[in-house]
Amino acid sequence: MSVALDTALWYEDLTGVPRMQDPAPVQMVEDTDAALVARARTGDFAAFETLVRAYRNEVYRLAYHFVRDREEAWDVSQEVFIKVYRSLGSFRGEASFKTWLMRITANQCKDYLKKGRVKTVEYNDAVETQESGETSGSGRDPARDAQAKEIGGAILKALDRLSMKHRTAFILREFEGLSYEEMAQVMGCTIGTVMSRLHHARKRMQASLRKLGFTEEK
Amino acid sequence: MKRWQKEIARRFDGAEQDAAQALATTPETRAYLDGLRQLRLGARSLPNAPHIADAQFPAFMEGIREGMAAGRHGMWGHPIWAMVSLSAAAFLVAFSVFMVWNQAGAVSASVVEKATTEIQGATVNAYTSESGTAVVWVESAQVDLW
Repeated sequence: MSVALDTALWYEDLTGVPRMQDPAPVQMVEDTDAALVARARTGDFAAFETLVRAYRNEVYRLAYHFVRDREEAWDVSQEVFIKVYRSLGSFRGEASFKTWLMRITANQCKDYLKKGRVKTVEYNDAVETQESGETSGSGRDPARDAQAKEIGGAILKALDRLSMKHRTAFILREFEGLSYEEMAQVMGCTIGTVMSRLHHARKRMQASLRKLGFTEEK
Repeated sequence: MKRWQKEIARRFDGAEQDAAQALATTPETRAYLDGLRQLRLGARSLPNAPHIADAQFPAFMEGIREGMAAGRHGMWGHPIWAMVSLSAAAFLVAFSVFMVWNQAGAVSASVVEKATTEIQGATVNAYTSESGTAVVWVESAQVDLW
């Protein structure tokens, strides 16, 4: 059974250096979102449903990175959209709809984790890695898979040791590929604070990975 | 956070990988950039997060609708409770008004018709003020009553 890939954020250039895709035409998307939000505010549920359909995976993916459980991420995502529907009146359009949505998602995940409602698990019937892009089954290198799984597990352990604000910064940058500006809107802080939190998150994760024996002291 | 770390990170996190590489000219800066790359590769080694397929979307949307409906009423938010409390408040107001308007007469102050005492040598006096307050007192010139 093949699994549809999410849209890749990263690609490798001819020299093999990972690069980020050029962002999609943002202005057109924002105009459409603004129109849909305006219609949803007036009670047009079909417009709201269109927004949910468009952004369900942004929300679900971000929730999954925090709670690391499919069912919990599903529940959190639904709660996010319920909250969004009730808060449409407070969306002023200063930030993009997407970053506003992700901000609500991050806050919802924070509340979820605070209440201890989630038992985080390391891996959850993962199908493929980002690097290999291969589905599970034949053709995989077991040794490479084991190594990737070990590194991934270490990354998750290191991530768990971070405070919420540092964890959020790392997830938004490394898993969601947000720019500093977008991160600032999601986290409700300045770009300088974003850079600082990201710097400290990376520093602490490197220290954790060193303790776990995955990186060398330099 | 040092300035050179900021500059390298900014280019590394933007679409300027070459510029980040160009800044890493010393062992310290190269180690820093390598550390950033290592973390990124480690994060990319994790499985892709799952997604909500189109086929799952109706169920996802249905859950949202159910959550909205449940939240709109809740247990005590149902409209029937608003009707009950409004009706109770209206009844209380009506009852109070009825009681005020249907009283037989104003409450009158007590009128002292007779006052006596069994204490020998003592006299009993009564006085009703203009406001209707009745005062009764006992006087005894010889004996301390307390």
